[in-house]
This record gives sequence, C-alpha cells and structure tokens, in this order.
Amino acid sequence: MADTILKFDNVTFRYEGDDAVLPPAVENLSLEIKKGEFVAVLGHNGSGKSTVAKLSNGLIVPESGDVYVLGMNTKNENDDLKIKQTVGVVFQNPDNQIVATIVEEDVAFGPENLGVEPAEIRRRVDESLKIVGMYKYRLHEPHKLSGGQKQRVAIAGIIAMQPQCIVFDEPTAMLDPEGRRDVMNAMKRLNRELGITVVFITHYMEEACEAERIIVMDDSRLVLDGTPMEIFADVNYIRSLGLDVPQTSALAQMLKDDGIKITGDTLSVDGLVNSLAKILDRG
Amino acid sequence: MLKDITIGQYFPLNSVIHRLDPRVKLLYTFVFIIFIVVSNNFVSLAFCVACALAVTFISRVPLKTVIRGLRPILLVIIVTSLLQIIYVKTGVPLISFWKIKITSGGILEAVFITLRISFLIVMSTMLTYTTSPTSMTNGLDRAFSPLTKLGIDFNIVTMIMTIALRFIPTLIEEVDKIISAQKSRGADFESGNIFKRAKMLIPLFVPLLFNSSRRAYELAYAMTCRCYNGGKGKTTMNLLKYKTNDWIATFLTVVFVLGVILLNIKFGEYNAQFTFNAAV
Amino acid sequence: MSFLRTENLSYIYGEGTPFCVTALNKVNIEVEKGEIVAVIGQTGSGKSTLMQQLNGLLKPTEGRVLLDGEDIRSSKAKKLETRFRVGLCFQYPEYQLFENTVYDDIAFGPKNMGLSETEVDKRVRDAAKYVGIPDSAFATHPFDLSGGEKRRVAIAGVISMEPEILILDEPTSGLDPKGREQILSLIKNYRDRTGKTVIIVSHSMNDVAKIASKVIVMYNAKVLMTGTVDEVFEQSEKLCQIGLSVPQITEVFTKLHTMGYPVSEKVYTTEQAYRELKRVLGGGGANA
Repeated sequence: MADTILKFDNVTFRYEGDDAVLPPAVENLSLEIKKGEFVAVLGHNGSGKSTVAKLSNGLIVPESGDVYVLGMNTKNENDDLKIKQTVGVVFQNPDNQIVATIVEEDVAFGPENLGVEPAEIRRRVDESLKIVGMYKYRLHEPHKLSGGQKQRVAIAGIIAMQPQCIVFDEPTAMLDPEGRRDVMNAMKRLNRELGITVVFITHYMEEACEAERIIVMDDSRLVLDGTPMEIFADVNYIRSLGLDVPQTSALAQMLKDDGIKITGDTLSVDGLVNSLAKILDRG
Repeated sequence: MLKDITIGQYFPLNSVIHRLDPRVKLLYTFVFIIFIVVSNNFVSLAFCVACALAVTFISRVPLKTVIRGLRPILLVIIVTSLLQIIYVKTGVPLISFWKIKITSGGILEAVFITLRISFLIVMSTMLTYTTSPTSMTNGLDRAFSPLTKLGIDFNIVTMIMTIALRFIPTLIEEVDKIISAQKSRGADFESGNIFKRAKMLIPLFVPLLFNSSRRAYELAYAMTCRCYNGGKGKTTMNLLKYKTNDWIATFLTVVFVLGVILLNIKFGEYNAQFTFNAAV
Repeated sequence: MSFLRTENLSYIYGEGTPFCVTALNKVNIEVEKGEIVAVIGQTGSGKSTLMQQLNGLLKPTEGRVLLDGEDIRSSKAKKLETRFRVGLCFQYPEYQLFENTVYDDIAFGPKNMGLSETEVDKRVRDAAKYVGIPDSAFATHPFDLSGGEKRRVAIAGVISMEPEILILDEPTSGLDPKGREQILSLIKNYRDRTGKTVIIVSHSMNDVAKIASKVIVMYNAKVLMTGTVDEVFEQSEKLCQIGLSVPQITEVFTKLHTMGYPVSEKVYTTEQAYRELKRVLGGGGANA
C-alpha cells in the first residue's frame, strides 16, 4: 500500500546467547504503520518492544520474515542509508546518543554524514532546534543540560536528517515529570506540524493514551491493536499483562463491576468528570 | 561540581585571537616554536618575546594565568639554567668558589635559555587558552584533511577526539557517583596500605567498565542511526573560512619569520664577551 | 526530639569557583522513628544532595545533621558509624553492582562493617528475603539478572547493613509498572516487618500516595512544604506551579468538587475514589 511507511511481515528475531539458544525477542510479528500516524507501543520490560525499534530501520535484521521501510527491505544493504534516513530512532538514555561537545554541532552530525551542503545543514539545525524548543541552547555543552533537554537535542539530531518516521524507544523512561512533558510535547509537535510518523515505545500508560493507536506487546508477540478507548476497555486483561491502567479507567471498571452504569469517555480526566457527574446527578 | 572542570586549559574570552581560525593559530604556534629555537642572538630572541607578549596582550588572557602555566616546567628551567651557569666558561669571570667558577657568559646563557623555554611554553599554552577543544579538533581535522588523499584517514582520529571530549565529563560524574555509592556501603577509599587501596579499585572499576561498554554499544547504535559511516563523503556545517583577520595573522606570521631571519643575519650568533661588554 | 533532623543545613557545590551552585539553603527537616517519608521535588531541587548529607557523604557548608540528638560529623568514628546507621541507596543502584555473585554483592556492606562470617551470612539471607531474591539466585552473576532483579539485589546490598534509616533515591525510576509495584510493596513490607524508618525520594506522585506517611516538598534548594499526604496534595495548584503533578484521580475529584458535587477532594488512589463515590451515592442509590 502506498501510504504504508513501515511494515513488519511475520518477523521473528532472537538475540545471540553465549551458548544457549535464547527464546525469540520478537515472534511472528506482523504490523503496518501508516504515514502520519502517532502509534504507541506498550509492553512490560522484556516484552520485545525495544527490539521492534531496532528492527524498524535495519539496526538488526529479522531471523525470519521481513521489515519494509517505504517498500525497501531492511535486509538489502544497498538501501541502508536511505532506510536510516527515512526512519530515525531516538533511544532511552540521552547521554549515550549525543556525540559532539556543542549542541548545534551534535544536531549537525546526521546531515554532515549524509553530505548535505553546509548552508542547508545550518538551516536544518536551526529549524530542528526551534521545533524542540532548544534553539537558545545551541551553543551550550550537552553535559550541562538536564535529561529532558538532552533528550530534545537528541530528537533534533534525528529531525535534522528529515526522516519521515521517528521511532522513540522509551524516550521518557529516565526523565523527571517536567522532562517527560517537554519530550511528549516535542513528539506531538513534530507529528502534527511536520507530519512525521511517530512510533512511541513506552510503559507509561498516561503517555500511551495520548496516541491515536496503541499496540500492546506481551511475551514477544503482538496481543492488542486499537484506539486507547478500545485498549483500556478491558482493564483486567491489561493488568494481567503486567501493565498499569490509567486511574480513570480503573475507577470506571470498579464501578462497572459493582453494577453501576457508566457511559461515555472514561479515559480522560474531563471525560470521567462528565461521566461521574451524570451518575452523581442520577444518584 | 566535578563535571564543571574545564578540559584542557581553554580560557573563554571573545578576543580577536580567540576568534581566529584554529588553523591560523596552529600555524603561527608551530612557526613560533621553530623560530624561537632558530633565533641565535639576544635581539632575535627579544623580537620573539615581544611578539609572544603582543599575542598574549591581544588575547586578553591575564598575564598571571599565563605565568601560572609555566609552573609545571619551573624545575626544568631551573636545572637547565644552573647547568649553563656552571658549565659555560666564556666571558668575564665573576665569582669563583670551591670548584665552581661563574662567568658572565654562563649567566647570559642561562638567561637566554630561560627566556627561550619560557616563551616557547607561553606560546603553546596561548594556543590552548584561546582555542576551545571543539575548535581545536575542527582545526586539526581541516588542517590534516589533505592526508585523506594519501590514504591516511584522519577523520577517525578527530571523531575519537570529539567523543573523548564529549564523554570525559560524563565519566567523571559517573566515577563520582560510584565512589559515593560504594562509600555508602562502607567502602573506604582513603586509608589502608597500598594492597588494600588497590583492592578498593575493584568496586570502582568493575561498574565503570561495565557501564562504559554499555554506553559504547548504545552510542554505536545511535551513530549508525545518524548515518555515520566512518566519515566518507562527510560535509561540515561550520566551514572554516579564512576571514580578513586570518589573512592578517598569516601575513604577520610571515613578517615574523622574515624578522627572525634578518635579525639572525644582522647580529649573528651572539658572543657572550661582546654582549656583556656592550651591556656594561 | 526527632530521631533524625537537620538544623539550617546549607550546601554549596564548588564553593569559591565561578561554577558554585547553592544546592541546599537553610533546610530544616525532622524524621521520626518508623515513618515512611517521601521527599519530592524536581531535578535540581536539592533532594538528592539532602540525602547525601543525611548519611554524612557530603560536608555541610553550614548547619548540621543530628541523628538521635548527636551531630553525625562530631568525630571520624561517628561519621563512619552514620554510614551504616543511615543506609543510602542511590538512583539506578544496579549500575554499582560489581561482585561476581549476587551473594557477594549483598555481603559487601556487612563485610565492610567487620561482622563475623555467620552474621554476614544471616544478614545476606535476610536482606535477600526482603527483596524477594531466592537463595537459588545467590551464585548468579549480577549482570545476568533482569533490570528489575538487579535493582532489588542492589537494594538488598543496603538493607543487609541493617540501617536504622533506609534512604532510597528514586527507587522506581526506569522500571515498568510491574517492577515499580514490586519495589514499592517490598519497601512497605520491609517497614512493616522491621519498624524501621524509610525515606524515599521520588517524583512519582502515585508512588508517594501509595506508601508515604509524611511528605517533604523541596523546591529551589529549600523545603517548600511538609505535611501528611493529605496536607500536601491539597495544594495541587502550588505543586503544579513547581513542575510536579498530582495523581490523575485527584484532578477528577477536585474538578467534581469545584463543580459543586458533594465529593471530597482528598482522593489520591482509585480505592479511595471508589470508597468516596460509594459513600456519596449511598446504599443502592446508584442502581435506582
């Protein structure tokens, strides 16, 4: 399909163990991400979700099955640069993805490697830093920034390569609430304003709920795929996967179990306020 | 905090010298070092010293800081000067006691050597005081880029330098943290004999090495994601471009070279006897 | 007299250099025996520095720390003794594991205390039990464990010193929900069974609401608020202003309260919310 940017076709992958054969990290995974989507991938640690990030731009290639980026198979080494330029990956630890000693030089690293003209690099670096709100820090040393700021620099470094899709591998796991909020906002902005497809791997429920679509992984397999409302409709199942549910959904479930009818949006704070107000009015 | 220490000895100011192209600074420092060694009489040497002082003055780095930079080589200066004083027997004998005879020639030779070594160091430290590590790496990268044509890959070297500069503060912070954590478990890093102390390095270095290798893996992934392929076909955002000031500095460097050569020829190799008599 | 307290404690990093930073500014806190105290605040608010003051790792620029009424830095022996009495577990403690086996790593602290072999063995086994690491894992290399297991081994490495006060700096950060839940319940269990004092640094308001009996809010090197969970979370606006957030469910109930519904605002967990709704709706009112 023309509007598919990323496609996993029955992918299985296992890491190499020292001597024993390890169980697959990802098993028979089939998945399609469309251009412009904002998709969250949920799962507990060890569910295989980080492996999905590395598979998505050919950092690792499937043992069986195929991954396609805009129709290009990641196994085809000739397309390697094109694939990495199309799908960028932002990792968990911001410290370990910044290579240069000055913020703007780090952001320039990708385009420089791609052989982009100096004037164009300058333009892209400035633009990328502005999108993530780090422009005024362009001449700072990365190690003096906060975690959230470093992570936004790392994001700018990917944006500067002008990818069509960015996979975020738990980008907020090591950040404090403020840093998490800033990174979330940056992700939403580049999805909305630049039309970049976002695949957001996380284990924070509240964050996943901000996506249009959630994919849930458990035990190396895809187990659920739907809108946040659909996913959190079955609170008990989500809990059985070792995941949290938003307090709002959890409360709605408790009321339902008690035979209290609760209708409408029970996921967002405002939605639940309205739904509860209706019940209280009735009561 | 530990992470705030400055790497190298960069002294951040915004002088004309600081703004010069790092290649020009590398060039004139290199030229200066050669020609202060080449200068063979007090007039040439005075000219070199004057030029070095001029650079220091324009850079606005405090003289005190520059002099402090000489401290590590103080011993070298003292020892060489003493050797000159003891062994050089030319000129007028001044003092003589026991088996040692001190002559005017010896003293002058000592002064000459002291000035030469000191200002050689002054100019070298001026390079690091006025050039940030990043800019220095950039300058080296550009200065040596012609080597790529000869099949020598200098890009890797500058990449390594950059990553080292980038991660030194991170690692210092990490060492700090590991020490604190192990101290909290009663580890004693400060007392005990050498064996006990060596043993205490294990709780520090095992985690440090483990964490660093983890960092290295992650960094490699991140660099691959950003299309790093060893620097082939790489462009640079901050192109180093010779500006007017850089041309002026290059021109002045040429003037300096000619100056030293002319003064060397005009006054010739200094004669201790002659200079001393002239001074008196 | 409080068990642990600070008196006008101030600390400046890199004093006398151009980079000096005031990390603590006249901080006064009090901790009683057996409490679970949560210290919350943004990164850079001074909470981690405060913890390193409490076990004597850092030397105060001004003020002092009193444990059982005595200055912890009054003598060198006192200083060392404090390290064992106030056990500090750093953030991401799994990155400080270094021994070849889980057992040896947990035993590192007790060995440094100069305890007998049988006592060390007893303490290692006890600590492992508290954190849910089975004896069968003792011979494993710590690096072969999962992230959550490593974290628990590292916490056991501090518990094994049997400190009177256990301090945990962001013990749940980076863990998934299941891992977070495990850590929180082990902390609560540990407190309930030993009756010892626990101080936990966190920026997760949900965690705090679940286990703390007292909350200290740090902001800009100072103590901004101290009180029970109720007293602190009541000031949700103030918390939001300094970059912290209250639990989602609290937001829902605050909104309902402002809209004029007869519900309490003091609701922080789903269980509380459920009970509160049932109370308001009364018996059978909802089904009518």
